[in-house]
Amino acid sequence: MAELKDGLLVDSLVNQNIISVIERNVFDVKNIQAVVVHQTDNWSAEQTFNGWKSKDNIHHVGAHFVIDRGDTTEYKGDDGKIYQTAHLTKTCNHVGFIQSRCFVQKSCAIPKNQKISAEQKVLDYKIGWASRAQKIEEVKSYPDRYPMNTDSLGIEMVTKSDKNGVYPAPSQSQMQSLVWLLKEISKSIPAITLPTSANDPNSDIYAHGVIGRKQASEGKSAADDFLTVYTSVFGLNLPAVQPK
Amino acid sequence: MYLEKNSFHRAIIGNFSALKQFKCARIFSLAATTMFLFTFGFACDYRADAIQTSKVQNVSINSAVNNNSTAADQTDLNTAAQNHRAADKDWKQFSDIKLGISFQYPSKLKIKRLKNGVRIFHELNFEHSDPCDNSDDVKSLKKFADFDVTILVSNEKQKITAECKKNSDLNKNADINENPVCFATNNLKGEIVYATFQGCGNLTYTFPLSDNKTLVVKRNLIPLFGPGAIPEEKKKAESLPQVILTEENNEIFFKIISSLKTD
Repeated sequence: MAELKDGLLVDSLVNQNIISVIERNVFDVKNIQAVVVHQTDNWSAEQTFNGWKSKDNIHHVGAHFVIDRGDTTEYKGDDGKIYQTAHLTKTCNHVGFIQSRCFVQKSCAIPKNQKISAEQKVLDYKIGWASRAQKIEEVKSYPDRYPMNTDSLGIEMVTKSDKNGVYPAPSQSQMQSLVWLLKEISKSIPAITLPTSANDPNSDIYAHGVIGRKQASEGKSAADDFLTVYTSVFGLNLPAVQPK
Repeated sequence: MYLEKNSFHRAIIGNFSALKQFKCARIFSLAATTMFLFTFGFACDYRADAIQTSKVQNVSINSAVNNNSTAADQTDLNTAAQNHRAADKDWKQFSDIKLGISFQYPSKLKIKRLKNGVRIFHELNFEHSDPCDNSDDVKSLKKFADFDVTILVSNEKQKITAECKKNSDLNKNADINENPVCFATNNLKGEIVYATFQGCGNLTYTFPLSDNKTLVVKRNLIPLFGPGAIPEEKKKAESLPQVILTEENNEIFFKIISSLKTD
Protein backbone atom coordinates (compact mmCIF):
# COMPACT_ATOMS: atom_id res chain seq x y z
CA MET A 1 0.00 0.00 0.00
CA ALA A 2 1.24 3.47 -0.90
CA GLU A 3 2.04 5.81 1.95
CA LEU A 4 1.40 9.56 1.99
CA LYS A 5 4.51 11.21 3.42
CA ASP A 6 5.14 14.97 3.36
CA GLY A 7 2.88 15.35 0.38
CA LEU A 8 4.50 12.54 -1.59
CA LEU A 9 2.69 9.31 -2.42
CA VAL A 10 5.41 6.80 -1.67
CA ASP A 11 5.27 3.52 -3.56
CA SER A 12 7.46 1.70 -6.07
CA LEU A 13 4.81 2.35 -8.72
CA VAL A 14 4.97 6.13 -8.25
CA ASN A 15 7.94 7.89 -9.85
CA GLN A 16 8.71 11.18 -8.16
CA ASN A 17 9.34 13.98 -10.64
CA ILE A 18 8.37 17.14 -8.76
CA ILE A 19 8.21 20.24 -10.96
CA SER A 20 8.32 23.10 -8.48
CA VAL A 21 7.15 25.80 -10.93
CA ILE A 22 3.70 24.22 -11.15
CA GLU A 23 3.24 24.07 -7.37
CA ARG A 24 1.12 27.00 -6.21
CA ASN A 25 -0.41 27.63 -2.79
CA VAL A 26 -0.05 25.60 0.36
CA PHE A 27 -2.70 22.93 0.43
CA ASP A 28 -3.98 21.31 3.59
CA VAL A 29 -4.56 17.68 2.66
CA LYS A 30 -7.78 17.87 4.68
CA ASN A 31 -9.12 20.32 2.08
CA ILE A 32 -8.66 17.90 -0.79
CA GLN A 33 -12.11 16.69 -1.68
CA ALA A 34 -12.04 15.62 -5.29
CA VAL A 35 -9.89 14.45 -8.20
CA VAL A 36 -10.11 15.85 -11.73
CA VAL A 37 -8.96 13.62 -14.59
CA HIS A 38 -7.34 15.39 -17.56
CA GLN A 39 -5.83 14.50 -20.91
CA THR A 40 -2.65 16.18 -22.11
CA ASP A 41 -3.04 16.53 -25.88
CA ASN A 42 0.50 15.35 -26.55
CA TRP A 43 2.51 12.18 -27.10
CA SER A 44 4.46 11.58 -23.90
CA ALA A 45 4.88 12.60 -20.27
CA GLU A 46 8.20 14.16 -21.27
CA GLN A 47 6.44 16.57 -23.66
CA THR A 48 4.10 17.52 -20.80
CA PHE A 49 7.03 18.14 -18.44
CA ASN A 50 8.77 20.25 -21.12
CA GLY A 51 5.61 22.31 -21.54
CA TRP A 52 5.10 22.86 -17.83
CA LYS A 53 8.75 23.77 -17.27
CA SER A 54 8.81 26.15 -20.24
CA LYS A 55 9.10 29.87 -19.50
CA ASP A 56 6.08 30.24 -21.80
CA ASN A 57 3.95 28.49 -19.14
CA ILE A 58 3.27 31.88 -17.57
CA HIS A 59 0.16 30.71 -15.70
CA HIS A 60 2.07 27.81 -14.09
CA VAL A 61 -0.38 25.22 -15.38
CA GLY A 62 0.25 21.73 -14.05
CA ALA A 63 -1.23 18.76 -12.19
CA HIS A 64 -0.24 16.46 -9.35
CA PHE A 65 0.19 13.27 -11.37
CA VAL A 66 0.89 12.27 -14.97
CA ILE A 67 0.23 8.80 -16.38
CA ASP A 68 2.39 8.13 -19.43
CA ARG A 69 1.43 6.34 -22.63
CA GLY A 70 3.35 4.12 -25.05
CA ASP A 71 0.91 1.62 -26.51
CA THR A 72 1.40 2.67 -30.16
CA THR A 73 4.41 3.83 -32.16
CA GLU A 74 3.25 7.45 -32.05
CA TYR A 75 3.28 7.55 -28.27
CA LYS A 76 6.82 7.88 -27.00
CA GLY A 77 6.30 7.20 -23.30
CA ASP A 78 6.36 4.26 -20.94
CA ASP A 79 2.81 2.94 -21.04
CA GLY A 80 1.00 3.33 -17.72
CA LYS A 81 3.98 4.73 -15.82
CA ILE A 82 2.85 7.04 -12.99
CA TYR A 83 4.73 10.25 -12.19
CA GLN A 84 4.01 12.48 -9.23
CA THR A 85 4.77 16.03 -10.37
CA ALA A 86 3.52 18.11 -7.43
CA HIS A 87 3.30 17.59 -3.68
CA LEU A 88 -0.22 16.93 -2.44
CA THR A 89 0.42 19.73 0.02
CA LYS A 90 0.42 22.27 -2.83
CA THR A 91 -2.38 23.31 -5.15
CA CYS A 92 -1.93 23.19 -8.92
CA ASN A 93 -3.56 25.24 -11.67
CA HIS A 94 -5.30 22.42 -13.50
CA VAL A 95 -9.01 23.28 -13.55
CA GLY A 96 -9.57 26.89 -14.68
CA PHE A 97 -13.12 28.02 -15.34
CA ILE A 98 -15.78 25.58 -14.16
CA GLN A 99 -19.31 25.11 -15.38
CA SER A 100 -22.25 25.76 -13.14
CA ARG A 101 -23.09 22.46 -11.48
CA CYS A 102 -26.66 23.43 -10.67
CA PHE A 103 -27.20 24.66 -14.23
CA VAL A 104 -25.90 21.39 -15.68
CA GLN A 105 -28.04 19.41 -13.24
CA LYS A 106 -31.03 21.74 -13.70
CA SER A 107 -31.24 22.47 -10.00
CA CYS A 108 -30.36 26.17 -9.75
CA ALA A 109 -32.45 28.24 -7.38
CA ILE A 110 -34.57 30.82 -9.18
CA PRO A 111 -35.18 33.91 -7.04
CA LYS A 112 -38.73 35.11 -6.59
CA ASN A 113 -40.00 37.46 -9.30
CA GLN A 114 -37.35 36.14 -11.72
CA LYS A 115 -37.85 33.71 -14.54
CA ILE A 116 -34.29 32.46 -14.74
CA SER A 117 -31.48 31.74 -12.33
CA ALA A 118 -28.36 33.88 -11.92
CA GLU A 119 -26.35 31.05 -13.52
CA GLN A 120 -28.58 31.00 -16.59
CA LYS A 121 -28.45 34.78 -16.89
CA VAL A 122 -24.75 34.92 -17.72
CA LEU A 123 -24.78 32.25 -20.39
CA ASP A 124 -25.30 34.71 -23.22
CA TYR A 125 -21.77 34.10 -24.53
CA LYS A 126 -21.00 37.82 -24.63
CA ILE A 127 -17.50 38.92 -23.72
CA GLY A 128 -16.67 37.94 -20.15
CA TRP A 129 -19.58 35.55 -19.66
CA ALA A 130 -17.35 32.70 -18.52
CA SER A 131 -15.66 35.00 -16.01
CA ARG A 132 -19.02 36.21 -14.65
CA ALA A 133 -20.26 32.63 -14.34
CA GLN A 134 -17.05 31.73 -12.48
CA LYS A 135 -17.66 34.48 -9.94
CA ILE A 136 -21.08 33.01 -9.15
CA GLU A 137 -19.60 29.55 -8.72
CA GLU A 138 -16.56 30.39 -6.62
CA VAL A 139 -18.60 31.64 -3.67
CA LYS A 140 -20.32 28.26 -3.42
CA SER A 141 -18.79 25.33 -1.56
CA TYR A 142 -17.97 21.92 -2.96
CA PRO A 143 -20.03 19.82 -3.70
CA ASP A 144 -22.63 22.51 -4.46
CA ARG A 145 -20.25 23.52 -7.22
CA TYR A 146 -17.75 21.48 -9.23
CA PRO A 147 -14.25 21.16 -7.76
CA MET A 148 -11.75 23.98 -8.25
CA ASN A 149 -7.97 24.20 -7.83
CA THR A 150 -8.46 25.00 -4.16
CA ASP A 151 -10.01 21.63 -3.32
CA SER A 152 -8.92 19.09 -5.91
CA LEU A 153 -6.01 17.03 -7.20
CA GLY A 154 -5.30 16.75 -10.91
CA ILE A 155 -4.27 13.63 -12.80
CA GLU A 156 -3.13 13.96 -16.41
CA MET A 157 -3.40 11.06 -18.85
CA VAL A 158 -1.07 11.37 -21.84
CA THR A 159 -3.31 11.29 -24.90
CA LYS A 160 -3.33 13.16 -28.20
CA SER A 161 -6.62 14.58 -29.40
CA ASP A 162 -7.67 14.05 -33.02
CA LYS A 163 -7.86 16.79 -35.64
CA ASN A 164 -11.26 17.85 -34.30
CA GLY A 165 -9.85 18.16 -30.79
CA VAL A 166 -11.68 15.05 -29.55
CA TYR A 167 -9.74 12.85 -27.14
CA PRO A 168 -9.55 9.09 -27.65
CA ALA A 169 -9.73 6.72 -24.68
CA PRO A 170 -6.54 6.14 -22.68
CA SER A 171 -4.67 2.85 -23.11
CA GLN A 172 -5.50 -0.19 -21.03
CA SER A 173 -2.28 0.17 -19.02
CA GLN A 174 -3.05 3.83 -18.33
CA MET A 175 -6.52 2.92 -17.11
CA GLN A 176 -5.15 0.26 -14.78
CA SER A 177 -2.66 2.76 -13.40
CA LEU A 178 -5.40 5.37 -12.95
CA VAL A 179 -7.58 2.93 -11.06
CA TRP A 180 -4.69 1.89 -8.80
CA LEU A 181 -3.71 5.52 -8.20
CA LEU A 182 -7.25 6.62 -7.35
CA LYS A 183 -7.65 3.67 -5.01
CA GLU A 184 -4.42 4.62 -3.18
CA ILE A 185 -5.32 8.31 -3.05
CA SER A 186 -8.75 7.55 -1.61
CA LYS A 187 -7.14 5.41 1.08
CA SER A 188 -4.80 8.24 2.08
CA ILE A 189 -7.41 10.97 1.74
CA PRO A 190 -10.70 9.53 3.00
CA ALA A 191 -12.71 12.58 1.89
CA ILE A 192 -12.35 11.39 -1.68
CA THR A 193 -15.12 8.94 -2.52
CA LEU A 194 -14.78 6.58 -5.45
CA PRO A 195 -17.89 5.80 -7.50
CA THR A 196 -19.73 2.60 -6.78
CA SER A 197 -22.14 2.86 -9.67
CA ALA A 198 -22.38 4.64 -12.98
CA ASN A 199 -23.14 8.36 -12.55
CA ASP A 200 -22.81 7.94 -8.79
CA PRO A 201 -23.76 11.36 -7.38
CA ASN A 202 -21.46 10.78 -4.41
CA SER A 203 -18.38 10.20 -6.52
CA ASP A 204 -15.58 12.74 -6.20
CA ILE A 205 -13.91 11.73 -9.47
CA TYR A 206 -14.55 14.16 -12.35
CA ALA A 207 -13.59 14.51 -15.99
CA HIS A 208 -12.18 17.95 -16.80
CA GLY A 209 -14.17 18.13 -20.03
CA VAL A 210 -17.40 17.58 -18.10
CA ILE A 211 -16.90 20.11 -15.31
CA GLY A 212 -14.70 22.73 -17.00
CA ARG A 213 -15.11 24.88 -20.07
CA LYS A 214 -12.84 22.73 -22.21
CA GLN A 215 -13.16 20.11 -24.93
CA ALA A 216 -16.06 18.01 -23.64
CA SER A 217 -14.30 14.67 -24.16
CA GLU A 218 -11.31 15.51 -21.95
CA GLY A 219 -11.01 12.83 -19.29
CA LYS A 220 -14.53 11.61 -19.95
CA SER A 221 -13.82 8.09 -21.16
CA ALA A 222 -11.32 7.59 -18.33
CA ALA A 223 -13.92 8.63 -15.76
CA ASP A 224 -16.65 6.64 -17.49
CA ASP A 225 -14.54 3.48 -17.73
CA PHE A 226 -13.27 3.73 -14.19
CA LEU A 227 -15.74 1.26 -12.72
CA THR A 228 -15.28 -1.35 -15.42
CA VAL A 229 -11.52 -1.33 -15.01
CA TYR A 230 -11.75 -1.13 -11.23
CA THR A 231 -13.90 -4.24 -11.20
CA SER A 232 -11.67 -6.15 -13.61
CA VAL A 233 -8.41 -5.19 -11.88
CA PHE A 234 -9.47 -5.65 -8.29
CA GLY A 235 -12.20 -8.23 -8.83
CA LEU A 236 -14.61 -6.33 -6.68
CA ASN A 237 -18.28 -6.97 -6.84
CA LEU A 238 -19.37 -3.47 -7.72
CA PRO A 239 -22.65 -2.69 -9.49
CA ALA A 240 -22.53 -3.06 -13.26
CA VAL A 241 -21.79 0.02 -15.33
CA GLN A 242 -24.79 1.46 -17.10
CA PRO A 243 -24.63 1.45 -20.92
CA LYS A 244 -23.13 4.72 -22.21
CA MET B 1 19.62 43.63 -42.39
CA TYR B 2 17.06 46.38 -42.50
CA LEU B 3 17.62 49.50 -44.48
CA GLU B 4 18.80 52.45 -42.45
CA LYS B 5 16.56 55.50 -42.26
CA ASN B 6 18.68 57.54 -44.65
CA SER B 7 18.38 54.82 -47.26
CA PHE B 8 14.60 54.98 -47.37
CA HIS B 9 14.70 57.21 -50.39
CA ARG B 10 16.89 54.75 -52.28
CA ALA B 11 14.55 51.88 -51.36
CA ILE B 12 11.58 53.71 -52.83
CA ILE B 13 13.35 54.26 -56.10
CA GLY B 14 14.88 50.79 -56.17
CA ASN B 15 11.61 49.04 -55.64
CA PHE B 16 8.76 51.11 -56.97
CA SER B 17 6.21 48.41 -56.17
CA ALA B 18 6.51 49.35 -52.51
CA LEU B 19 4.56 52.46 -53.30
CA LYS B 20 1.46 50.30 -53.75
CA GLN B 21 1.56 49.59 -50.06
CA PHE B 22 0.91 53.21 -49.19
CA LYS B 23 -2.71 53.83 -48.39
CA CYS B 24 -2.20 57.48 -49.22
CA ALA B 25 -0.34 56.76 -52.44
CA ARG B 26 -3.34 57.94 -54.48
CA ILE B 27 -2.74 61.50 -53.41
CA PHE B 28 0.68 61.47 -54.92
CA SER B 29 0.78 62.10 -58.62
CA LEU B 30 3.35 60.40 -60.75
CA ALA B 31 4.90 63.78 -61.25
CA ALA B 32 5.70 64.12 -57.55
CA THR B 33 9.39 64.15 -56.92
CA THR B 34 11.21 61.53 -54.94
CA MET B 35 12.24 64.22 -52.52
CA PHE B 36 8.59 64.98 -51.86
CA LEU B 37 8.03 61.33 -50.98
CA PHE B 38 11.04 61.34 -48.74
CA THR B 39 9.83 64.43 -46.90
CA PHE B 40 6.22 63.43 -46.38
CA GLY B 41 6.31 59.66 -46.77
CA PHE B 42 6.84 58.99 -43.09
CA ALA B 43 3.60 60.77 -42.24
CA CYS B 44 1.58 58.31 -44.28
CA ASP B 45 -0.14 55.32 -42.85
CA TYR B 46 1.80 52.48 -44.38
CA ARG B 47 2.37 48.84 -43.73
CA ALA B 48 5.69 48.56 -41.97
CA ASP B 49 6.23 44.96 -42.84
CA ALA B 50 5.89 45.63 -46.56
CA ILE B 51 8.40 48.42 -46.33
CA GLN B 52 10.77 46.21 -44.40
CA THR B 53 10.57 43.61 -47.11
CA SER B 54 11.34 46.09 -49.85
CA LYS B 55 14.27 47.25 -47.78
CA VAL B 56 15.52 43.72 -47.37
CA GLN B 57 15.38 42.99 -51.06
CA ASN B 58 17.20 46.20 -51.82
CA VAL B 59 19.96 45.54 -49.32
CA SER B 60 20.47 41.99 -50.50
CA ILE B 61 20.95 43.12 -54.05
CA ASN B 62 23.24 45.99 -53.14
CA SER B 63 25.29 43.76 -50.88
CA ALA B 64 25.82 41.36 -53.72
CA VAL B 65 27.08 44.22 -55.85
CA ASN B 66 29.39 45.38 -53.09
CA ASN B 67 30.83 41.90 -52.79
CA ASN B 68 32.50 42.29 -56.20
CA SER B 69 29.74 40.52 -58.04
CA THR B 70 29.40 41.19 -61.72
CA ALA B 71 26.69 43.12 -63.50
CA ALA B 72 25.37 39.79 -64.74
CA ASP B 73 25.03 38.61 -61.15
CA GLN B 74 23.05 41.70 -60.28
CA THR B 75 20.75 41.13 -63.25
CA ASP B 76 20.24 37.55 -62.11
CA LEU B 77 19.25 38.71 -58.66
CA ASN B 78 16.84 41.28 -60.00
CA THR B 79 15.34 38.77 -62.40
CA ALA B 80 14.97 36.21 -59.63
CA ALA B 81 13.17 38.74 -57.49
CA GLN B 82 10.85 39.70 -60.33
CA ASN B 83 10.13 36.06 -61.12
CA HIS B 84 9.32 35.42 -57.50
CA ARG B 85 6.86 38.31 -57.42
CA ALA B 86 5.27 37.17 -60.65
CA ALA B 87 4.98 33.58 -59.49
CA ASP B 88 3.40 34.29 -56.15
CA LYS B 89 2.49 37.91 -55.63
CA ASP B 90 1.07 37.25 -52.16
CA TRP B 91 4.41 35.98 -50.87
CA LYS B 92 7.48 38.02 -50.10
CA GLN B 93 11.13 37.38 -49.62
CA PHE B 94 12.89 38.11 -46.33
CA SER B 95 16.66 38.22 -46.25
CA ASP B 96 19.01 39.21 -43.47
CA ILE B 97 22.68 39.19 -44.33
CA LYS B 98 23.80 39.72 -40.74
CA LEU B 99 21.84 36.72 -39.49
CA GLY B 100 22.59 34.82 -42.68
CA ILE B 101 19.05 33.67 -43.31
CA SER B 102 16.44 34.11 -46.00
CA PHE B 103 12.93 32.76 -46.43
CA GLN B 104 9.64 33.47 -48.10
CA TYR B 105 6.48 34.37 -46.24
CA PRO B 106 2.90 35.42 -47.10
CA SER B 107 2.42 39.18 -47.25
CA LYS B 108 -0.44 39.01 -44.72
CA LEU B 109 1.99 38.00 -41.96
CA LYS B 110 3.91 40.57 -39.96
CA ILE B 111 7.62 40.53 -39.38
CA LYS B 112 9.24 41.68 -36.16
CA ARG B 113 12.99 41.96 -35.86
CA LEU B 114 14.45 40.40 -32.70
CA LYS B 115 17.97 40.56 -31.29
CA ASN B 116 19.07 37.26 -32.81
CA GLY B 117 16.28 36.52 -35.19
CA VAL B 118 12.85 37.35 -36.48
CA ARG B 119 9.27 36.74 -35.44
CA ILE B 120 6.71 35.98 -38.14
CA PHE B 121 3.16 36.32 -36.90
CA HIS B 122 -0.46 37.21 -37.59
CA GLU B 123 -2.79 38.73 -35.00
CA LEU B 124 -6.46 39.59 -34.87
CA ASN B 125 -8.38 41.71 -32.40
CA PHE B 126 -10.54 39.24 -30.54
CA GLU B 127 -11.18 39.34 -26.81
CA HIS B 128 -11.22 35.86 -25.32
CA SER B 129 -10.32 33.89 -22.20
CA ASP B 130 -6.73 32.69 -22.15
CA PRO B 131 -6.96 28.93 -22.90
CA CYS B 132 -3.54 28.41 -21.27
CA ASP B 133 -4.68 29.81 -17.94
CA ASN B 134 -6.09 27.16 -15.60
CA SER B 135 -5.96 29.33 -12.50
CA ASP B 136 -9.18 30.21 -10.63
CA ASP B 137 -9.05 33.71 -12.09
CA VAL B 138 -8.61 33.17 -15.82
CA LYS B 139 -7.35 36.28 -17.59
CA SER B 140 -8.79 37.55 -20.83
CA LEU B 141 -6.70 38.44 -23.86
CA LYS B 142 -7.52 41.26 -26.28
CA LYS B 143 -5.65 39.82 -29.23
CA PHE B 144 -5.40 36.44 -30.80
CA ALA B 145 -2.32 35.24 -32.68
CA ASP B 146 -3.32 32.62 -35.24
CA PHE B 147 0.22 32.24 -36.57
CA ASP B 148 3.34 32.71 -34.47
CA VAL B 149 6.77 31.46 -35.44
CA THR B 150 10.18 32.72 -34.33
CA ILE B 151 13.41 32.02 -36.18
CA LEU B 152 16.55 32.51 -34.11
CA VAL B 153 20.22 32.16 -34.96
CA SER B 154 22.19 30.92 -31.97
CA ASN B 155 25.95 31.11 -31.66
CA GLU B 156 26.00 27.90 -29.70
CA LYS B 157 26.49 24.40 -30.95
CA GLN B 158 23.41 22.32 -30.26
CA LYS B 159 23.45 18.60 -30.79
CA ILE B 160 20.76 16.53 -32.41
CA THR B 161 20.40 12.76 -32.35
CA ALA B 162 22.36 10.58 -34.75
CA GLU B 163 19.08 9.41 -36.23
CA CYS B 164 18.11 12.94 -37.21
CA LYS B 165 21.59 13.65 -38.61
CA LYS B 166 21.41 10.56 -40.79
CA ASN B 167 17.97 10.91 -42.30
CA SER B 168 17.95 13.63 -44.90
CA ASP B 169 14.42 13.44 -46.18
CA LEU B 170 12.54 12.27 -43.14
CA ASN B 171 9.18 13.86 -42.40
CA LYS B 172 9.67 16.53 -45.01
CA ASN B 173 6.01 17.42 -44.98
CA ALA B 174 5.02 15.70 -41.80
CA ASP B 175 1.86 16.86 -40.15
CA ILE B 176 2.25 18.34 -36.71
CA ASN B 177 -0.12 15.66 -35.41
CA GLU B 178 2.16 12.84 -36.55
CA ASN B 179 4.70 13.52 -33.83
CA PRO B 180 7.91 13.45 -35.87
CA VAL B 181 11.18 13.62 -33.96
CA CYS B 182 13.42 14.35 -36.94
CA PHE B 183 12.67 16.98 -39.52
CA ALA B 184 14.31 17.90 -42.81
CA THR B 185 13.80 20.23 -45.71
CA ASN B 186 15.84 20.43 -48.91
CA ASN B 187 18.23 22.74 -47.11
CA LEU B 188 18.14 21.79 -43.46
CA LYS B 189 18.28 18.75 -41.20
CA GLY B 190 17.16 18.87 -37.61
CA GLU B 191 15.22 17.67 -34.64
CA ILE B 192 11.96 18.68 -32.97
CA VAL B 193 11.44 19.09 -29.23
CA TYR B 194 7.86 19.29 -27.99
CA ALA B 195 6.93 21.44 -25.00
CA THR B 196 3.17 21.16 -25.22
CA PHE B 197 0.11 20.58 -23.07
CA GLN B 198 -3.59 20.88 -23.89
CA GLY B 199 -3.03 22.93 -27.04
CA CYS B 200 -0.55 25.30 -25.37
CA GLY B 201 3.21 25.56 -25.67
CA ASN B 202 5.48 25.17 -28.64
CA LEU B 203 7.58 22.98 -30.87
CA THR B 204 11.26 23.84 -31.22
CA TYR B 205 13.02 22.81 -34.42
CA THR B 206 16.80 22.73 -33.98
CA PHE B 207 19.00 22.79 -37.08
CA PRO B 208 22.76 22.68 -36.34
CA LEU B 209 24.55 24.66 -39.05
CA SER B 210 28.17 24.55 -37.92
CA ASP B 211 30.31 24.12 -34.82
CA ASN B 212 29.24 27.50 -33.52
CA LYS B 213 25.96 28.21 -35.24
CA THR B 214 22.49 26.72 -34.80
CA LEU B 215 19.22 27.70 -36.35
CA VAL B 216 16.30 27.45 -33.93
CA VAL B 217 12.72 27.67 -35.16
CA LYS B 218 10.12 28.03 -32.41
CA ARG B 219 6.58 27.34 -33.49
CA ASN B 220 3.90 28.35 -31.02
CA LEU B 221 0.72 26.31 -30.91
CA ILE B 222 -2.53 28.23 -31.36
CA PRO B 223 -4.29 27.65 -28.02
CA LEU B 224 -7.61 29.10 -29.13
CA PHE B 225 -7.85 26.28 -31.69
CA GLY B 226 -6.75 23.63 -29.21
CA PRO B 227 -8.78 21.45 -26.85
CA GLY B 228 -8.13 23.81 -23.93
CA ALA B 229 -10.18 26.63 -25.44
CA ILE B 230 -13.74 27.43 -24.44
CA PRO B 231 -15.72 25.80 -27.28
CA GLU B 232 -17.96 28.86 -27.83
CA GLU B 233 -14.95 31.17 -28.13
CA LYS B 234 -13.14 28.77 -30.41
CA LYS B 235 -16.16 28.68 -32.72
CA LYS B 236 -16.32 32.48 -32.85
CA ALA B 237 -12.60 32.74 -33.55
CA GLU B 238 -12.84 30.26 -36.41
CA SER B 239 -15.36 32.48 -38.17
CA LEU B 240 -13.35 35.72 -37.87
CA PRO B 241 -12.58 37.41 -41.20
CA GLN B 242 -8.91 36.98 -42.20
CA VAL B 243 -8.39 34.20 -39.65
CA ILE B 244 -5.71 31.62 -40.37
CA LEU B 245 -7.17 28.22 -39.54
CA THR B 246 -5.11 25.22 -38.47
CA GLU B 247 -4.79 23.67 -41.92
CA GLU B 248 -3.63 26.93 -43.49
CA ASN B 249 -1.29 27.50 -40.54
CA ASN B 250 0.34 24.13 -41.29
CA GLU B 251 0.64 24.90 -44.99
CA ILE B 252 2.19 28.32 -44.38
CA PHE B 253 4.61 26.97 -41.81
CA PHE B 254 5.92 24.21 -44.02
CA LYS B 255 6.20 26.55 -46.99
CA ILE B 256 8.18 29.07 -44.95
CA ILE B 257 10.46 26.47 -43.46
CA SER B 258 10.97 24.79 -46.83
CA SER B 259 12.10 28.13 -48.27
CA LEU B 260 14.42 28.82 -45.34
CA LYS B 261 18.02 29.14 -46.46
CA THR B 262 21.19 29.90 -44.55
CA ASP B 263 24.52 31.31 -45.70
